[in-house]
Amino acid sequence: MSEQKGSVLFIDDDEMSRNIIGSYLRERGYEVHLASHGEQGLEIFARERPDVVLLDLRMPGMDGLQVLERLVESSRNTAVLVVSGAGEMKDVIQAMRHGAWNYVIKSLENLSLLDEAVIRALNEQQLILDRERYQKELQEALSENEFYRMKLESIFQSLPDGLISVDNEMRVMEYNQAMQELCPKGGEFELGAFFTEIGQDNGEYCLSILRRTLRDQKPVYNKRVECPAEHPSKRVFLVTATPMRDREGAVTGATLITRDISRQEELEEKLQEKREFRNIVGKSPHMQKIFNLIQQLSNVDTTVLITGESGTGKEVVVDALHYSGHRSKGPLYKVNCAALSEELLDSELFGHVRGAFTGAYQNKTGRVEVAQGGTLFLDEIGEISHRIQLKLLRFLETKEFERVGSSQIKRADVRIVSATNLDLQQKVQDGGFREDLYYRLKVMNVHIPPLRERKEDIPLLVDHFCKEYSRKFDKKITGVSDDVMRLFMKYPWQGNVRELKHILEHGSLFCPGGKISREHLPGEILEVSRSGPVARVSAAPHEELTQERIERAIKEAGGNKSKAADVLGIHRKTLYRKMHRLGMDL
Amino acid sequence: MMQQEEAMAEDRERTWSESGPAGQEEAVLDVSMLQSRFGEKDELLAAVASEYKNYVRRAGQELKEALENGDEKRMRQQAHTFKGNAALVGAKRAESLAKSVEQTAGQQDWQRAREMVCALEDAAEESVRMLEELLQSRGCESRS
Repeated sequence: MSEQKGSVLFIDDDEMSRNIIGSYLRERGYEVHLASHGEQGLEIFARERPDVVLLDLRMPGMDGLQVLERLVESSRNTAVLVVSGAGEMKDVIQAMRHGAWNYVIKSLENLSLLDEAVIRALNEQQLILDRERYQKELQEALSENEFYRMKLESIFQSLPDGLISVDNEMRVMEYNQAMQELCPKGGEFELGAFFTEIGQDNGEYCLSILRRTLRDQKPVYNKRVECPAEHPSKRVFLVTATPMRDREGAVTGATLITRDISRQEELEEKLQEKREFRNIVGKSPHMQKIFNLIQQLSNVDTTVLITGESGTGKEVVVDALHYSGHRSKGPLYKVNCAALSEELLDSELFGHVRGAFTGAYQNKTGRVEVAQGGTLFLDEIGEISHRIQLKLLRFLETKEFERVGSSQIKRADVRIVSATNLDLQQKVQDGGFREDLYYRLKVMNVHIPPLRERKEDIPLLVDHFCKEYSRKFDKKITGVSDDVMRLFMKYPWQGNVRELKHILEHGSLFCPGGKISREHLPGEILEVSRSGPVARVSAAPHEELTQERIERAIKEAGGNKSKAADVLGIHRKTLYRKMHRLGMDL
Repeated sequence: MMQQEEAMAEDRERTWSESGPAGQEEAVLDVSMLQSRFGEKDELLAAVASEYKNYVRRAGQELKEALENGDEKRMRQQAHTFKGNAALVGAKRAESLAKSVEQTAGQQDWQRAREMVCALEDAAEESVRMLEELLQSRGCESRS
């Protein structure tokens, strides 16, 4: 007996046929069940579930065709082979029509055919089972695939970022809800439509990025795009585009992701405004107080006295006061009182008439008059003479003035903002400045602290000036090295913000790009960092400038007057005026 | 397609029924086919021979009874089965004669039918005898 090939049920009413064919098949290796009539056959079939049924057609009682119908009903994959006698071909054909797989005519010769037919049926059945299994597996795989697709689709649709994918021809393949909502042309998106057609007038920015991605076959990351379409407020996006590739790596299209950063930018701008107010940079509590004070003072006409060491940025505060208030539409004039002699200052402020003094060949309108409706800034107010103090006091009290050499009273609506780096109160006590004028000028006082007292603002100032010089010198200056920043944080900054600005200007000039490092800095600051802070000639800015101090400063500055003025903490023009007064060689 | 198959099947049946006039020219037993199908399987061949021998005795009796009773239907059924079983063991002449009996059964020609049944019995007995001889020649004993 060979290895068992499968199970066979043979239904035949003829005992001899059953026994001979049954024995033959057993001998061929099959598990054989025999049934002498249809009912018995169906019963054995239900119990044993044989692989193949051999069925005689002509049987008393339930005939072969009836049995066949029942078998096919119970299991459509049952392999039923008709085993008939010669002369039953019509019945055989009928059986084939009802679902029989094959037929064999009973004969000695056909015994081997019977074996072959059973083997073929078993193979076919196996194929059917395999096919069914593969179909089931395929169905499962498809279901799983569908599940993941739905999952991805769900993620795709729920993303807050806008996504759109196009093929190589720029036809829209997929887009999500967010993209539809974010893009001004989102409502016109249509699968299969050309993205070029959709965005002709408004979508050039995203369009050009997608085109570049497809052309270069390289991703474009985080490109900032300000949407050119009309929106109630500015819409800014970060756009990333990546090429899509097939298994072979060939580019089949591109995906564009847009992230709306409008709100983020808005907040950053607000934060920036908090750190920077009209070009005044600082996040320190003192500077924040100054920002608030400027805002409060900008729309009132009260006089303001700005105090602070030289270089702290008093002029910038004046600009802020003027340009953030209602006088911003009017003019802003600035006069450095220390740079002019008494006569010239008188004329500069109030004007003169022709012949008022030697050289007054024609009438001149003074700053007070031309600043009508605006602001007049009087820098180094502590340096003005008593006579000018008196004229100024009168103007502040009455808004009236007379041109030099004229008795005609004029009026002007001008806001006076003054500044000094001297201790004006001390000067009042010493009798050098009118007390009544002092209080007139100092209705509101804005005191700017020296940079050494607000070192936390240094990184912000560095960033601010680096950006300014990047633009000015057309370089990409990204900041200063850690080493330089450490140096800046230790440096005493006697020259305050002005000194920092000059150092960064110097650094930006010598730096080829990137971060400013030590070798780009001027020698003085490096020297100070090596030897410790140099005792400046002007330790106290309000200290009286003597000839000796000025000479020492000029010597230290190698004869450079501007540097000497920096060292002394005074304006260059003030230095010249002082030197002139002291009878020093200019 | 199925009509074509039916036509071919009828042609085949006609050819089959026309072959051999009453089995006179047919071999009694297709010994070579038996040897081909059963090869060395002596046990199986012995079992087949035994089945056939018993059947021939039983079926011969039933055919004679149907003949005596003038039961055409039964005679046709018996002849049909005889034809199939004879074919199954390669008893060519018996198969052919059984077919003739099956055909004669509906013709009311009882004399002819009796002659055919007798001839069938003889041919069947002859095939049994030859089967036994074949078994003996292979060193097997036939089962009773």
